[in-house]
Amino acid sequence: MNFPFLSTIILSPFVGALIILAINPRKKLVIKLIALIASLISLVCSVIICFLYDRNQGGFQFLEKIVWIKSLGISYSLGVDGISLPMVLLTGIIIFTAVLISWEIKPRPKEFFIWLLLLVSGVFGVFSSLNLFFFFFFYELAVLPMYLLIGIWGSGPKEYGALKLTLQLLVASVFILIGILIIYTFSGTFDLVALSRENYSLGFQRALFPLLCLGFGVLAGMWPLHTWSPIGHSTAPTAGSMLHAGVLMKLGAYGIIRVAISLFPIGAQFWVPFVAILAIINVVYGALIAMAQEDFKYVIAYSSVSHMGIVLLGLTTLNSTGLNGALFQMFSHGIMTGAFFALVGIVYERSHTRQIAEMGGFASRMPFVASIFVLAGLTSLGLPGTSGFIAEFLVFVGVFKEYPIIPIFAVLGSAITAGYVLRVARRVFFGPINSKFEHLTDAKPLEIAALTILAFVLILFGLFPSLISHLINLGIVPLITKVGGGII
Amino acid sequence: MGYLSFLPEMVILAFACIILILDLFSSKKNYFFSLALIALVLALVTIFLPFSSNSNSLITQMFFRDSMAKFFRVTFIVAASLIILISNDWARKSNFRSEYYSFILFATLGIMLMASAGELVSMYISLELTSLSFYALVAFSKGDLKSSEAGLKYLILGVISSDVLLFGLALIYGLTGATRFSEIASILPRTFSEPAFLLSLIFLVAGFGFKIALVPFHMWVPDAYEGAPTPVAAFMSVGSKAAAFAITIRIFLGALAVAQNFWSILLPLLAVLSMTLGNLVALVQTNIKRMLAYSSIAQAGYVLMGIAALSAFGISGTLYYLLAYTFTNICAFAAVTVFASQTGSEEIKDFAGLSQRSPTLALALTISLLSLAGMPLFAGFVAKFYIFASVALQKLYWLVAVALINTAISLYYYLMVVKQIYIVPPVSKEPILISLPSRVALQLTVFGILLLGIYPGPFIKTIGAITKNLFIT
Repeated sequence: MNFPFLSTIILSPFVGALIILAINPRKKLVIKLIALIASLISLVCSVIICFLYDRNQGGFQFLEKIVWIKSLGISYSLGVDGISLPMVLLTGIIIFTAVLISWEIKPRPKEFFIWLLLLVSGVFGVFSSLNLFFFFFFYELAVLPMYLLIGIWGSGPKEYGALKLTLQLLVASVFILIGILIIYTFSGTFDLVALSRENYSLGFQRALFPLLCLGFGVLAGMWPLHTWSPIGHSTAPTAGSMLHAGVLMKLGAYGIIRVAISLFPIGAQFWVPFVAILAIINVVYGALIAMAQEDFKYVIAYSSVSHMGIVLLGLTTLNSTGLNGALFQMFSHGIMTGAFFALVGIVYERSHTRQIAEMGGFASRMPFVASIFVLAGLTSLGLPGTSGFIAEFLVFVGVFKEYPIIPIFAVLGSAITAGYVLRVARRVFFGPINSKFEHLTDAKPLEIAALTILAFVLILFGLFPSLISHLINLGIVPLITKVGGGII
Repeated sequence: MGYLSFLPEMVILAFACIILILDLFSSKKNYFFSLALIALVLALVTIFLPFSSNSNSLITQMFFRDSMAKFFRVTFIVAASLIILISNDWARKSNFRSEYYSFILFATLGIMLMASAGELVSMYISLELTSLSFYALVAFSKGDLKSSEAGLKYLILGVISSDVLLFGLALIYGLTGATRFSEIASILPRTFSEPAFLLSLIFLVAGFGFKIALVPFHMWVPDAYEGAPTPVAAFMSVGSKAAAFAITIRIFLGALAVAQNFWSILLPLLAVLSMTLGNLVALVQTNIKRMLAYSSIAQAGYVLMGIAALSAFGISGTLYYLLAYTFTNICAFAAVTVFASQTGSEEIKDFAGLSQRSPTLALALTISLLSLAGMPLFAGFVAKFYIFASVALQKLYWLVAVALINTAISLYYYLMVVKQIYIVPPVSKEPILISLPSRVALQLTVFGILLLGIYPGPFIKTIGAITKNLFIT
């Protein structure tokens, strides 16, 4: 049990990036293989810790601690619980499939994989850090490489999209850092476990919660601060969109639950109704805008905004059902949107268009792609038997317990989702095919491998949600006790 | 034995003179570069010899020999060595190579003495030694009109600021009758009510503000940096700035600590002005040296926050920031030097596609810019975090907020350069070659940036030990 699994998971992509840096850019195959191996190591390790996690014991496990800066109370301390473990697993799956999808990336594959791996190291780091200094360190590391990933390998107005995404997220992180420094001033430590044991005064909690919730909310795509997301995700290269929509948006939601809610539960109770209103706007507004899009990738980008609304909505319930639903949705949406962006990328690479109006009948040329798209689409609209159903159902039940009216809109949002998903599926994949698209081919072996993994995970957790819901619940229980304790 | 503690300074002085004299007799001028490097390496070695540590003889009443002085002396020698390394390409084309290197050594001597000065006279003399060396260095490109203009501007404004400073020092001496910082501190409370004291404080702030390049005393900076040879601009931005900070710490927290209430209001104000104006004006610059000049004004604002925190923690933050900034800024200027010496351009738009013309140079410049912006993995992140934490601990949340917003603003113009380097396609495919000395300098600075950014523990520990004894409340 003493093997440093978490450090291996974090450092494997980082070391991979360093090795690639030293390799001649002409040796493209070696570079790709190193990227693949590095992400495979992380994936395998994250699967292993999912199995090794002691479910009877719960709490933070696989702890690692190295004192970093003694005088500031900063230590490199890692650990995962039921909340972060599924996120680590999600990141592992997405990065591995993203590397597979990016096999043919052009130009400059060397730099592409360096930035991609660096970014993923940051993401793994955020999910497993138990020290706010390193939490923020990895958070910034996860945000920045996206600028170059979009700027160099993106499409459309990529420079605008890259800059908007980067600046908006980094301005938001200003709020987070102010919050972290204020917490540090009051308690003199950056250690998350120690911090969560402290009792903060009511006023302090009410002041700090909105600061942190706002800071993290931007990355979670909270309305009206979500504007970086559609443009950023639709201009990004396929792997970039997969990671950003699949994993990075979850960093925001994770920050809200890990820092804002678990440190300031009483403050959260005061503010969640307001957040719930924003979240429901996310759900309905995102879905409606997705309905109106003519660009294939924008549909998916706005659907992410809508689905992240469901995550946020689940978080605002502060009850066990809702939180479980939110975390399940984070996992399920991560895989699903990863699959969506991979599919959009594959279609775009072959047809060189993203205008839905020009497409049609693609299913006859790429049946595999079409079938996976339909599967992801059904998950997206929450069909029973898919993981999307479990997640949305739990969130809705949780919301029904807490708020009036809002659940009606939530279910409405779900109905609109069904509308745009089915509409897009019909217009792109079914109907008569345009003669200029006769030459289209189906997915290549590596793409099939990546899509199969994603589809397998979607179905697996749809049919056997208990595989992960038990784990999530273990992480939720201490949180609920705190929130419950706050009421008394 | 007291004189022996000045061995590093003596070595530098001796070599500076030797270089000047040798120039008269030799027609070959290749070896001055090596000679200057040897001088600095020797000086660095002698600092760590046992007899050059603390002693209490007469001469040390003029100069401190404490651990803070040692910290700055080591930093300055390292910085000067890096500057010499990146000067080679540039100096090779000049006819006055020996003078150039000896002036660099004189300037190094000046800033080393400044950082260790323990009383007003020695402080002023070492400050003038530094300034005079830099006046000459800024105007060193003889045929270049810009350089001459910059030199003249810097000279006139610099002399005025020195006068202002001198006037302030004279008032302090007149009020207390003492020149040593410790004596001033003990005599000062009796003279608080004198209006002359307030006047002297204002003069001191203005004088040091000029040397540090704080807004509103920053006017000379962009022109001087743009006109000066790039390595000289680099040295000014790290060396003379850090030395002025050292002396500010010594005077304000040593000699004038008792009058804290009078001057402590000014510091956050100057810090906010410097970083805001520096960052906003940097946004619209098209010349990279002018951009770096404004960025250095903004950086000075962040550093000043550490002093404004008025705590040992804040001063450690300041020292750490200066150390991080030394490596980061020299790295940025080194990259610009290499680029400009090959392409003859300093315009930001000409950096387009640098990543394809020279991946090494592109990476080094990107790392230094991201470090200046305070991104993780790099020294700038830890330094900013450290300083902001120290200010937050003093409950100056508004100051932290302003600084963080400024950091976000600054990211824009740093990213604009990164955009040119990596995203915009190159105009010419011609590769950029990096000479060996410059390559070594780039590697060393990048190594420093990463070391300070990833493994800051030992450095922070050392700096913490320095500032623990220093602070008087």
